[in-house]
Amino acid sequence: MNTSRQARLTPRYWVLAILIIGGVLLTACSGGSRESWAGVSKDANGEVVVVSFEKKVVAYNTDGSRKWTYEDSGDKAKFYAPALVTSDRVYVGDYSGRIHAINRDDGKRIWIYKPESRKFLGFSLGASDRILGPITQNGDSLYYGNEHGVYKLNIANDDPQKVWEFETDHSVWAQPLYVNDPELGEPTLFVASLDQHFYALNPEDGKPRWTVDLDGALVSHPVLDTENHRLYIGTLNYKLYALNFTDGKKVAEFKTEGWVWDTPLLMDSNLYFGDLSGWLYELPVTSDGFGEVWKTHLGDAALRAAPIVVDGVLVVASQNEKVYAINLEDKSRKWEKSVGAPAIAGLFSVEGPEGTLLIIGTKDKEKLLVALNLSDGEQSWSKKAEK
Amino acid sequence: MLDIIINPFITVLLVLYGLLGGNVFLAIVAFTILVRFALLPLTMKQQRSFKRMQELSPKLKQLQEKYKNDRERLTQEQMALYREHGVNPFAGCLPLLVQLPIFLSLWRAILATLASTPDQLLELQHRIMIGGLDHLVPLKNTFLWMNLALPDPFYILPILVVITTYLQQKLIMPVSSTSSSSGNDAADQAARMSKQMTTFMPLMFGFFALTYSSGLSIYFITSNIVGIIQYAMMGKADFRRLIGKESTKKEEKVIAEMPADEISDAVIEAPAAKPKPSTKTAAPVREPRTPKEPIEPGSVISATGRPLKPGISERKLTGSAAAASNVASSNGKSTKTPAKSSSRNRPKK
Repeated sequence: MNTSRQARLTPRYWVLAILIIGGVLLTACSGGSRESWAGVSKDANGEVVVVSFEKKVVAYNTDGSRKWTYEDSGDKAKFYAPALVTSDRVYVGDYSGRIHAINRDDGKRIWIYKPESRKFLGFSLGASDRILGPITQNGDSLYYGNEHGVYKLNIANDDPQKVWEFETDHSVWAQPLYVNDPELGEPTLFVASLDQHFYALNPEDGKPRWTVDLDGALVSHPVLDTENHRLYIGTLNYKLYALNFTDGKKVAEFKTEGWVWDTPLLMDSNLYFGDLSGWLYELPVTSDGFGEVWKTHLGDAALRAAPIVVDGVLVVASQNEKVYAINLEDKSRKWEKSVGAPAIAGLFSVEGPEGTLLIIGTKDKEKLLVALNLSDGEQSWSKKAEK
Repeated sequence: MLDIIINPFITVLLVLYGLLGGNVFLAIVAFTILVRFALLPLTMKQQRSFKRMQELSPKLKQLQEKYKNDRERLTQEQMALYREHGVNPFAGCLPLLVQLPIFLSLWRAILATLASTPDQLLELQHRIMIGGLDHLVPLKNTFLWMNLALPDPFYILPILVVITTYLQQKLIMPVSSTSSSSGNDAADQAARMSKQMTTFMPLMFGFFALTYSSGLSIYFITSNIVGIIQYAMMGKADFRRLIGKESTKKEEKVIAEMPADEISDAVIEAPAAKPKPSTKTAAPVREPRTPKEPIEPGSVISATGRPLKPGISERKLTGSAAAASNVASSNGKSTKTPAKSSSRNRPKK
């Protein structure tokens, strides 16, 4: 008995115990299991809210009732990209690089596009080009980014075919921006990439018209200013740029306190955006570039999702679980509410049965989607992640 | 909690990435080498502690036998023994405990800088400790066929992880891990443990390599190779074990294999059989012994396998000679005694 006790206490047992504990810690703490937050989106009319999270894509009516649930159990698809909700379809990319076309009314699958596997020296690498960004549609064409670049699909006759691909040096998480403006002469597809480059592509053949290096990763697409012929885009290098949309030349740049993740909101010649250090900005756009900024610090937590302006109220959601409503005119605080979960996944407004609702996507499975009344910030409904 | 280590690691990794031309593979390799060499003093201390514990193993066994019915006294005697020899029984584990959060942080730092998911990228801004590195984020994660943020689709890296982990374990494990049963329970336990670790560790890390990003596999492989080189430079790696041969380093023979009842406070009793007078056994200590030379029962063999003077076994051996001697007993069974650092009582020619 003593021998076995002695053996248990030998340093080697301690070493093994430490290694096992270490292994458990590695598994638990490595961050490898964390993938992303939910993708949340709505249709153009604000009638349907769609949430893509893990194995399910779920559509809700604005009163919080579930419309349908879509799941691709056969291929064990996982969804994190915000869906594109059109008048009759929902298009969403998954974590295996596939595109799903879903009937907007009943959630039934229409088709799945499975890309060809990438190859190295003739050997298949498997389909692992994760799609994390939303899809853009123009007629029978879909444009989307993945880990290797941006792609165009022709979906005529519900027979999706790849038309071209444009390779980038890093992932494209941003939604491609299709612009058909007379000033541009011909339609252009703008693509922002984590490789720090901003590309203007010919949507027909995917060839670049121009490229600009912005010296910082680009996560979201720019906002278009047709009046000034500019694009505004934030970077993960403490900058927000104004670019001439015809040639990509930098018109102006603005130094921020933190990384700018989401697309700024352009309204009444003002840009509204937050940064990952918790600063909220109102930046006037002038003919020269930018005017004098108004900014406020809402804590150190990230303001990832772009703010919105509804009925003269500026609303912003924070990783610190709070949602702030600020009167646009005098910048006074209208209300401030906690949603009980990091509010980073998305923010938009819809018309609910009893007035305007703010829809907030969070990181918490127990409160994946929260609807607050714009008037007082009280919670109208919330939704857990479907199992 | 680990952020205090992870954040500097992320910063260093980004600096290396910038210095090495934006090659993430080279950055991870360089970073792993830097960390391994920074931890070298701890690694050496750990090895020394293990060795000293092994040296004390027979005495501990003895104490257990002696005080098997008095647990309290046993504990007191064990502690006294540790004090007497200046050994902390947990000293071998402490460096490992220190290293564990460092390796965990290294792992986390690689994942964080690759920022393959939005969640990881979102946290990265607050982790960079030096301004001017933000333009490097996120690291370009492609190398050859691999997306370093994802597992290797061809399983080449996981296989290399398993092989290099196994090699490292095999090369650095004490001899007991390759010995057969010695009849000593404690030694057998240790041997079994060592064998389990040689099997368990490669499989565990292979599993991690299969599950997590290729960048981590590169870290594992580099770390293992650097570890092998470090142990080889310290003279701890025995490459003969790879081909299943017994170690040539007699002084590293595990002391725990010696039955405790044959050890008495470092006094080696003379065997019953009288040693045959022989020119071989009377040969000078420094003269190498030929490989095929038979070991005479009762002769005393030095740490390097050289026979000592016939009469030496009748003396009370202390110091390195006693410690490193192999006594060929009358039944031909070879036993070993602990090596000690003192050289004052080295047997003279």
